[in-house]
Amino acid sequence: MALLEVDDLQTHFFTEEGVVKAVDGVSFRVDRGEVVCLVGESGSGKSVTSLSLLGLVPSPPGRIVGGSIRFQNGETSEDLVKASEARMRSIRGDRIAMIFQDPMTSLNPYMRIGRQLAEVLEVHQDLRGDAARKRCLEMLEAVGIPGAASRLDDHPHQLSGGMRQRVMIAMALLCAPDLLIADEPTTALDVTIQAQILELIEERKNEMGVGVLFITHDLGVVAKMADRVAVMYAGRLVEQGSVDAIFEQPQHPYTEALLRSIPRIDTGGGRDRLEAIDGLPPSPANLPPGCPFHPRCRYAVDPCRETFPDRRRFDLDGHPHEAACHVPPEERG
Amino acid sequence: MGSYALRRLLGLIPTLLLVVTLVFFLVRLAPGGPFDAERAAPPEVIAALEAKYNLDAPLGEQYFRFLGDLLKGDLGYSFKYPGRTVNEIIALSLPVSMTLGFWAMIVALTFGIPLGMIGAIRQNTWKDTTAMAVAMLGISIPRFVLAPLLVLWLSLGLYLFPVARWETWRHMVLPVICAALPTMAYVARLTRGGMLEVIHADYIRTARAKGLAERQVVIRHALRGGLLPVVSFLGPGFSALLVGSLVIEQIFSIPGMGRYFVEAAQNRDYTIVMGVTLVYGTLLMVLNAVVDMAYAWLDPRVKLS
Amino acid sequence: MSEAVADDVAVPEAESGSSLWRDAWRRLKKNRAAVVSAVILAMMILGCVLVPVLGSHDYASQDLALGATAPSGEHWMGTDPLGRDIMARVFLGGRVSFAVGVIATLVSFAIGVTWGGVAGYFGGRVDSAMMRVVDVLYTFPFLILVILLQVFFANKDGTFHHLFQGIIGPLVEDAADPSWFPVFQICFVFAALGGISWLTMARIVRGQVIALREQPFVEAARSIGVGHAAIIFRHLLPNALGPIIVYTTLTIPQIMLTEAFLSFLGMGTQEPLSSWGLLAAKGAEVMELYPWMLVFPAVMLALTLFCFNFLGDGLRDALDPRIRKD
Repeated sequence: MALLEVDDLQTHFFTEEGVVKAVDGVSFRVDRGEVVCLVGESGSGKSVTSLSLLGLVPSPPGRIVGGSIRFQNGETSEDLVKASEARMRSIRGDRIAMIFQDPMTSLNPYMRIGRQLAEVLEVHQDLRGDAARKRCLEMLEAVGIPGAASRLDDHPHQLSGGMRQRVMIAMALLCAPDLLIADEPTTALDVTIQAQILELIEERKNEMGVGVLFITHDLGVVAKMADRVAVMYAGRLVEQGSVDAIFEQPQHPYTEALLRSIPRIDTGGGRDRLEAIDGLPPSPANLPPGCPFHPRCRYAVDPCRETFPDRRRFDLDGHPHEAACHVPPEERG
Repeated sequence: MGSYALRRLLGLIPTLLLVVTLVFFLVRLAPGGPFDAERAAPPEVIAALEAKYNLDAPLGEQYFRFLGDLLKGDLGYSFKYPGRTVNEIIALSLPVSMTLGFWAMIVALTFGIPLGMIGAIRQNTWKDTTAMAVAMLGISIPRFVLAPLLVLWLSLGLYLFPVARWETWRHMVLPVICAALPTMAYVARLTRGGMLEVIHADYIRTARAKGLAERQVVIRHALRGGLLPVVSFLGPGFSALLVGSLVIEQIFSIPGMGRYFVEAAQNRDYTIVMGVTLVYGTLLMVLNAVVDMAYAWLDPRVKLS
Repeated sequence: MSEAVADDVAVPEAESGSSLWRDAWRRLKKNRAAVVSAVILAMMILGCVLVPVLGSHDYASQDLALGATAPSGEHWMGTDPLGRDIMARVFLGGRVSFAVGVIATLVSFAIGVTWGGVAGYFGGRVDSAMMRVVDVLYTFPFLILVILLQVFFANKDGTFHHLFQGIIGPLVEDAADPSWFPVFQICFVFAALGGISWLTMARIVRGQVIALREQPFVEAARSIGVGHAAIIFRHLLPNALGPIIVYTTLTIPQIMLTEAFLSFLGMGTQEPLSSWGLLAAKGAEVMELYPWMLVFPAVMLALTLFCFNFLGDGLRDALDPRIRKD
């Protein structure tokens, strides 16, 4: 049984200007010990997807309007969409933990680090005082913060960006969650620190066996971290598969276009120009009919303008793969 | 923190000196004032003034005498009431005004903060609109309108509270309410604004992602940042409250410093006016220094320079 | 085959940037409270201009035989002990209240913009010194100082009075005529009130000037030769004006309140001029006997303040989309 199984998730925002379908039919799964990267441009709906998993979509104006999120619970699984708020609260921080993009604003500037960490233990494990402090100290050391003991009494502004992110990771892992959701954790950091943080996440994953849903727009990060990749565009998943398959044999025109637009050393020479994708991603409030990518797609044909393609499932590179496109690769010029 | 406090208080001294000097020269220059050749005052007062101030001495010497007197706490004689010193009057009236101001601030904070929090947490619901409408009323109705209306209603109509004077706790209720209302309104608005900003902050989202109940999120995380605007308001807030109490003391015949000040102003009793100004000024400056220190203590990001 | 997408497909355009002002105007119009307030204020001002002139009763004519009467068909707001029509007096008083509000705000605007602008522009020690002054004054009960100045200097033949006479001397036929004295007093009040409220304006303007100075696009624009005027008027000013407009709108009711307050203490507007504050103060004295004398001016004042505050809030919400209510 998968640790997390998302099926046809739909999260819409009901605003004055109309309904924004931020997530419109997304399905994927994450297993224990594997890293699934959710890739897409800004506005593709990847962050909203992650917030939906934890029931943290700002409501109003947002709401999960359809689909299911099955999360493993012992021998069975429960649907988080239907879970009560009390149940979600017990899951957040304990079974599913999340780390966010900007560590500067994601930590409470007025509270000491130690206290913010210990809070998680207090809420979920009823652990306080010295026992809690000890656990926090261990965790800080495990995430590689030097002089951890004194850091417990510091405030966030006294730490560097990289260290703050480590603190966030520590905070997320304190209760040994089954699933870790990382929403662009390295985007706000320097490149050198990025690599360290990614290594840290990978180490912890290996040691603790958590499943990781890693959200990013950076294909380099995907190449390093992912076991499997899910590509999102305009609120939908357009392709999903193993990382190797995605990079070497992309099945969807969007994925193809993305890969053509970044420099790569693995495909050797051959290409001397990067190709940007023409046009702009559609505004989520104003999606084109049919396949949302068709206005920018070089292979678009009539059906593309009318209906969203079915997901074709097959095996690629020995792993399950799927892509949603009307035009099979053989028919592309 | 301690050394910051000390430095802050010491820093007040040059400002105080400036104010004192300013006042000194103002009084000297006031036409018809104590030092004007054609001053209009009873002869005993003039005699007392001359004895005290030695007006033939050069200005510099007079100034230092003045400072010396101040340090001794001697503010001189009333200009209009022979034989009474400014000190006497202030000693009698200051505690009254302080009590009024203190309780008014307590009431303003006690009711204003929760009102503002309701507005923020239940944003855009009827509770929010109502809370903010009440706050708006508080800001828009002048105290000197509110006071007579409350008196008409609660004192003369319902016999709940006495109309004037300052003797028992019952006498305190109406004046304190009237003094507190506009301040409470400001506090409510500031609290709501501050909380709204904080509630949409990323770190609140993190707190929720940790599994905290909404109530814990608000109290443990949002409140501290959200109340900071209220803390920085306290300084000028007290100032405004003080000014407002001038009217309250008039209407309710409360023997506070404000009432004496207004009477003195209307009577052109220069020395009392001057003395009260100095006391108010000093009081408020110290108060503000304390508020600043409180703010620095609450917000760890403020560097204590 | 794989030619470019057919022309009839609507490629989503980059959203045309709505100008700041148009957006703000749209948001403001949606704010019902603000719109209603603006309408009420407009009617109020119109009333103050027209009623004393066109109304059926003159504001000065007394009818001692009549004395004070409650509101009736003849006198909608009643009469005062001298038989004068209160409605006419209230609307006349409104002229003074609004005038004080607007003029004193302009004074405070002028001082604040200059002070803050200079401090922000020069920065460094000049800025520190100037803002230190603001900080100190902010905590001081300025009104007390105003009263002090009034007491000491705003007398007939006081220094300020002589100054005033000097200024109007060339403009009027007889500056020494004692009927100019109330005008002098009112001007003193304008200046004093403006002098109290410029502090926050100075802070806001300074903040804006500093923020604008730092904009990288200013440097960039300069480096490619865009004229200063173009930058200032098309980009900087519209952004800077926002908070300034909001604060100006919110200052007017504060000043009107302070004027009412001073008049109540006998230190603001003086007879024979009248303002809402003065009328309310007189009304408060005889409240038990003739409550209408307090109620009408008080309600007019409170209503005006209410509306200005709502309007100011609405402007703030409209111009600063970050503090959105959703």
